[in-house]
Amino acid sequence: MKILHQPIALRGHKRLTGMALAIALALNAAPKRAASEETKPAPDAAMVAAHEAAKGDGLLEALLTELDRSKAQLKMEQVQAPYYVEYRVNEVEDFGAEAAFGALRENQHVHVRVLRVVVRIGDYKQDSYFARGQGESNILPLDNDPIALRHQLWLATDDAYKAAGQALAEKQAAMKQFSADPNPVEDFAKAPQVIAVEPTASLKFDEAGWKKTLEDVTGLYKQYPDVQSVTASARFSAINEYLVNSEGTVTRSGKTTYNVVLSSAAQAADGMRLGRSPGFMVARPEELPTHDALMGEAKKMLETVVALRQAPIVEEEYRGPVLFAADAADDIVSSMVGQNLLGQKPQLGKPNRTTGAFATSYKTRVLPNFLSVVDDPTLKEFQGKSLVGNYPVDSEGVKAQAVNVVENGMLTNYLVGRQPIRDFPTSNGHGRAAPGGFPGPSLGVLLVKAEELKKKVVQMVTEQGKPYGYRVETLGPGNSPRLLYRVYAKDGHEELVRGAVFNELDIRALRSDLIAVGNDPLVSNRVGAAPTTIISPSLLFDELEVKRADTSKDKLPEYPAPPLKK
Amino acid sequence: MRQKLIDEVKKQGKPYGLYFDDIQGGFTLTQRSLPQAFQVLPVLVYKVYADGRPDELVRGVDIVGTPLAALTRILTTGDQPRVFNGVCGAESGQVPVAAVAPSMLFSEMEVQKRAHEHERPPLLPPPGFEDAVLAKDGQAKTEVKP
Repeated sequence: MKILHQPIALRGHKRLTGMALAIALALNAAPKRAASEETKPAPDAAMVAAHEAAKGDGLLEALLTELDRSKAQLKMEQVQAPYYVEYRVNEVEDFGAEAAFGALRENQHVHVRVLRVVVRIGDYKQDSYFARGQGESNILPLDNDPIALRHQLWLATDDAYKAAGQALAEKQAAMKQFSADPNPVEDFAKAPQVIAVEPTASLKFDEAGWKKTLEDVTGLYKQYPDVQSVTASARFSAINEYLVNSEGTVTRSGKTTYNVVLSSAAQAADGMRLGRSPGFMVARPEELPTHDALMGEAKKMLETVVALRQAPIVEEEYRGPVLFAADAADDIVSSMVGQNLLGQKPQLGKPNRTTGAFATSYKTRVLPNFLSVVDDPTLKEFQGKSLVGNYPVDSEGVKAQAVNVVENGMLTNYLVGRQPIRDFPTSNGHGRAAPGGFPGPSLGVLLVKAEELKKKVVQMVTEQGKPYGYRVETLGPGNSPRLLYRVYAKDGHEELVRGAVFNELDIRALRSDLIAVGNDPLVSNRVGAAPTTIISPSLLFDELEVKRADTSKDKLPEYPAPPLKK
Repeated sequence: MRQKLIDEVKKQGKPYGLYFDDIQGGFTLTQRSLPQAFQVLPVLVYKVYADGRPDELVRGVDIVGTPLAALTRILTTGDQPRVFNGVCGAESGQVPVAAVAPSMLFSEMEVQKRAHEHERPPLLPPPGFEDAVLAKDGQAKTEVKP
């Protein structure tokens, strides 16, 4: 390291010169003459059709113009030119508000455009989609100034191309550690050109009304001195997804989700922490509960929390029939069936088909033979309820399609995107992504279909000579019961209990101990990287173990809550 | 101040002095276990030549040192204080701070070459400049009077 000793003048001030400023200056300097010169004839019919479809949408036009230029001109010496370029933009409009104890404590609006650029070099058989070669994300300008948009695209594409060059070399080097696969799975699935420019979505709701509702609902804490916290939140979101790729696919689709969650927590006298958080998630705002309905739901929630404080603890282990209500069954279906249906490609050098528990279960029985499961993202509503897992095209520009994943208990398909897995060389329209995120196989609308009627837990319990069975109303994190009732054999009455968990509630139990399902399918719209819907009936298990949860005996607060009178 | 800088350069028999016009920020180490040193990251630095040549904008130089040694080398200060409003991150997290100081002439200060990567500039010209030929070296001398 060289060290210079020089007399210097140091002026005692500095400024924060942000990158944003520098970019803004660069953009202002750019003359606005792009519109006239960008319409060079596209080389092939697919791209001509793509440009035709994009007409009138400033964002799509800018994406395609820069896509053409990148595809045609990007080339570094000793690095191949890209064989595939993709731009995906998620325009997100978010409203979030939360109230606690009768007052608003959060209120925010977000409007952002998130860009994701994927540049692939190599070919469909083996390409650079690995490590940093999986794409670059950035934020795009919100208005449709074509030069401003393209400037960001230009820089992100340049980064993505250079990263792809490095990633392909890295991947090929990494693969040398593993013995060659005699039937290698290709890296990227070919997909037909899709042109689907759908209407965009936007949020429509009464902001002042919702803020008041949240405050009113949480103001109920005054009537429930035993409850330690009461919150209510509203998260409303409109996401418009734009995608163009060098295969000529142009898609635009919009989706709204409206999510309202109530939450409350308390401690029992012995210190056990208890909580409930019922939520409502819909695609159409008019399906949300009204002010009065939500007040009713909140009261119900608070009353069950109070009841849980008084409920007896499950001290002794139980093995016998357990009934999961539809509102609890959806969590079981999502975590134990849904996640395992995803055709997630394993790491380099791993031999399995997928990463889930069903990796080696193709064409074997994974559920009782009276159950079938289909994932159908084209389903817009079910029994009059909107489904947030619905979409027309996925985040990789592939048309959504219904996939029969489990037929009469047998696993017949996985949900896959454009990353092929063994025996599944093409996408079935399930490559989905959060804004700016990697697309990966995801559920859309997962529907459990049954052919058998509900049986009574009481009957079985009586036959097995047990005093009671269990019925689960809702589940909390980790599939532990939030509301669990004992159903007594002698007169069928129910008793709320607390402090229990299930032992060995796993895919084996689901395959062998699930003996009946109800005819009461319930729509469960769920938050996630990409919103999904699970439609499941109640589930009756022949034998499950219920045991005492290993909870900690936290102390109650040392002194009471502040008095309600000022 | 500028003349005083040139006078000092001549006195020390050096070909040039350095003029720091703008600084993007800096940091210092405050833990007991680490040396009590600071580093300042300038953005606009000029070589001021003793022989009357025009000032030359240079880049890739950082100021380093220890606070007590550096502050004892202030020869003189200007008479026009300037206000700096910014955000300072320390053990407290990010807090807004203001500092007021005049320009200062140091008899000696340690500088070091800034670490940087040799990343390639973008391959394609920026949108809107597709037809323009990119200046190949980008090294065009910028002569700016401070």
